Amino acid sequence: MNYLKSFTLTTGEITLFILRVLKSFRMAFKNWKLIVYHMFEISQESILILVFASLFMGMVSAYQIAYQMRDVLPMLYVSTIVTQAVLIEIGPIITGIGFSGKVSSQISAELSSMKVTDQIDALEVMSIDPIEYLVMPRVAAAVLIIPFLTLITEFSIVFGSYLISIAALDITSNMFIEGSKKNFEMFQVFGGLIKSLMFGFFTVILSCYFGITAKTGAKAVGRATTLSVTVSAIAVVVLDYIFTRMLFLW
Amino acid sequence: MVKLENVTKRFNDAGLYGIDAHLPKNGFCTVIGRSGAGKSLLLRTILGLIKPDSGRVLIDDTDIYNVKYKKLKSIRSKFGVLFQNNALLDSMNVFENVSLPVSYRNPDISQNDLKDMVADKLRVTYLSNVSEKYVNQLSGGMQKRVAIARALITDPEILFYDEPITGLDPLTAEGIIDLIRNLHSEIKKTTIVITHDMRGFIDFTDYVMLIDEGRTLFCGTKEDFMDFDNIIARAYVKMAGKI
Ligand SMILES: Nc1ncnc2c1ncn2[C@@H]1O[C@H](COP(=O)(O)OP(=O)(O)O)[C@@H](O)[C@H]1O
Ligand SMILES: [Mg+2]
Repeated sequence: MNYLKSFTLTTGEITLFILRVLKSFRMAFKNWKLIVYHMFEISQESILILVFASLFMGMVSAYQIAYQMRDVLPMLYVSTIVTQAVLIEIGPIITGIGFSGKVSSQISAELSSMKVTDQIDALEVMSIDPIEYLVMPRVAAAVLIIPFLTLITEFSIVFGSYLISIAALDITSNMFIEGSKKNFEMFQVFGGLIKSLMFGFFTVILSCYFGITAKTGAKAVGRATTLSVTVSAIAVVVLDYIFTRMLFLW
Repeated sequence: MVKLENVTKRFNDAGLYGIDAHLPKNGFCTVIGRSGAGKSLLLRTILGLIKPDSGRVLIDDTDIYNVKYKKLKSIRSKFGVLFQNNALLDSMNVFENVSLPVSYRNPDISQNDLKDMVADKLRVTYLSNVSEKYVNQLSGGMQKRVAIARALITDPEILFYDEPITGLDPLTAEGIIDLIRNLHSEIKKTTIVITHDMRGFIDFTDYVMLIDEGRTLFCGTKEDFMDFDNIIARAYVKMAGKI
């Protein structure tokens, strides 16, 4: 019963927090420099790990599909399945999970240690709204940059599976390209990007929430960071389900 | 003027219980109490950061918890605060830290004006050649001075210093005490020093507020405090070498 109560309370608080952040977006123009700064920060933090993980993800995917479809489908379709899965599902979700691991943890650690050392209270007293100054620029930056990061991720995964297809699966370059064009629709790219936008928005806003509402004391930083990584990873999976249903099922 | 009326804020095992206080305009007031007495919590309620469960906090006769956020902002613009652990932004250098309250509120201010303002505050806090340095490159005493410079940048009406000398070596502490005293005698603004060690401040303080376990034990002039017959108060007076 207590769990239920605190869950409801927290959900309510997060909703209010999101509304406040959305409201503060009217200050986006005034803070554009901060937004650009955080776009760089976020890309810098996440791009290498995303590319690296994606290459391997791509290699594994090609192997898996070739293995599972052996004697069932012509190898031409390996790249069809990889590309479709990447655009609709794997690309956005790898980016989203990557965000919750790397970007979320960074942000909540940073904001919670600011909170613990009174920096956030100091901003408040200097009449600098922490939502407007710390949260909104990070959320805006995440939403603006995540589609590009997702495209890079998607490219890396497909490239990884391309490499393995040519090197180990007896698939020619032409076959791979031919196969990946089958069933392709531009809408799949946009659908995936819309999902990634949601992932960027929610992972970052949640990590800001847990950072800014951290309690006092050194333990609070660890707690905020763990919470933010866990909750944002779960949020990514749940949002993925919701938006896949909304966008891709007919 | 800062006035507290029956301010109560309960946490699980601590809090403030019916705090009354009157800290007059332009006076120098020292708030003392053991660590954990609730001094920093009291400061937070005065700054509008923690809403009391009951009671009122009046700044120049306005109840700060009974106004719109915009009005609260304008009341806060009268405050200059040195937080217990400085609360400087560690992602910024000294210039950016000190100028932030001004540059954020008027983004159109010219770089030159901003530089002049910051240079002026760094001069009165006896800091030189630190503008480009990051906070973690400075000594504890210098960080305090930077934080004081930031508190001064908006020319506040009320200055709060939370534990300004705690954790500093005696010589550095002496320097900070001198700075606080000089600032008060130069600009004659309400100054509220929160400390568990009033030794350095007793000579020039006008008012004393003593709190213990979240309750006001005393709030009045220094002269009355000297005669106040209470065991904790006597201990403070004795520690300050005045008996
Ligand atoms: N936000 C808070 N939540 C829970 N307890 C708090 C909070 N702020 C202060 N307290 C408690 O109030 C008491 C007084 O703390 P504080 O005001 O920091 O003391 P000090 O007089 O040393 O500055 C402490 O026991 C502290 O744990
Ligand atoms: Mg304190």
